[in-house]
Amino acid sequence: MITFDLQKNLGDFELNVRFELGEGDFLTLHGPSGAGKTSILRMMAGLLKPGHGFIEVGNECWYDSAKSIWKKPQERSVGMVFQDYALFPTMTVRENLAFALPKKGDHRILDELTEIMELGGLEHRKPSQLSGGQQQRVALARALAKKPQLLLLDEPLAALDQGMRLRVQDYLLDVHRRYGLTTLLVSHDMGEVFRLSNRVLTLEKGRILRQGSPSEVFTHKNLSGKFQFTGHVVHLKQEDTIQIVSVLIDNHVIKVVATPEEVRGFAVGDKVIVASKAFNPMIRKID
Amino acid sequence: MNQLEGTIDRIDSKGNLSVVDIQVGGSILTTIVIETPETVSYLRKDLSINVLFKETEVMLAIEKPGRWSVTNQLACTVEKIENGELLSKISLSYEGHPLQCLLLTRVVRDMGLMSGQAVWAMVETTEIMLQA
Repeated sequence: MITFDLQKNLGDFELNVRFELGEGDFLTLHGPSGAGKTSILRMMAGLLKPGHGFIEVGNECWYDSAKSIWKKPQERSVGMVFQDYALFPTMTVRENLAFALPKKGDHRILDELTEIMELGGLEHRKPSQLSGGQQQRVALARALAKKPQLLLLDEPLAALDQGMRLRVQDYLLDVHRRYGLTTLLVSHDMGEVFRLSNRVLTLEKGRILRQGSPSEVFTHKNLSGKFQFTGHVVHLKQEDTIQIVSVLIDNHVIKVVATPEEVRGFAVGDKVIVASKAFNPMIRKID
Repeated sequence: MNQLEGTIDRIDSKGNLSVVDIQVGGSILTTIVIETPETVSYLRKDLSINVLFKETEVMLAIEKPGRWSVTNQLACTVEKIENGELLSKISLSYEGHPLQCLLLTRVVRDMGLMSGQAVWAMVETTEIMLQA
């Protein structure tokens, strides 16, 4: 169990969040820029000191304003990955990973991570010789080398193209399950939120607006249709008496038949919800 | 999307499924949903709710169907027909509420549908969504 109660004046607003995370939870912090998401991550990592509150991780106290406890980043069992990979440019992949290992750390974890993240063959390369996706896999492996109790991810995949993003998400899901991690992710990508996290906090100006599972927070709970997705309109075309609307959902484009009245005022780029009953879609196993 | 307002008349639940009867004007519409009164607040007898179904999922019959598996049958009047080359849009009125239905133009022709005509509009139980 990880409990945090964080309060701090962030200039424009007062950050005030209290939340409990269970072991194995994958929590996404979601909300507009400047809502306080990265500040929360930095406070959890020990890089930014809150004004008041506490952070408890298992039986350990990382921060308690009442008892003047403030653990330094290196005293906390956290792994961090940011959008910019922040790898040491002069070190090879292997050296970057080894640097993160605690002094008496077991080098076998590096071999294991190299295998899981499919970095074999890249170990002796420098970061500049790697693609964005490869660099981010190294950054993730490095964050996991000390087997952290808490993994902090700040838009780690934002700089990657869609295909690479999906592949790195698979790696993330794999290590999250394999190592029983508790993960805190900042993301704006709705597909990513649904794919990775089991819990979501929506923040605005430092306060929790909504919380729950991604479907509780983002789908229209008042609509009974269970085949629900959110996406963006990419194309609208009148065909005979109907409109065919193409919607980008994750990295798939789907088509919806609608009446012209139903989609009046729709424009390319609009965010939409697509819903049908769970009774309608066919499902079939593929190889 | 067709939308009619109704009142929940009856809920039969088993496991995670509920069959819901909604009184809409003088008719009862029935739907099945993967929710129960325990999982959502809108499943309560006498609560007002919107019934939604797609224009493409509406069937029309000129005579009242007898022993049909589709029990959702609304007595409507054809208000307007817009013929496309392949698909036609039929505007209907159910007790004064507008409904729409998309049919193949050749079917509209074969049935001899005309505005002012009385028809029965039918919707499958599995095609009706509820919105609180």
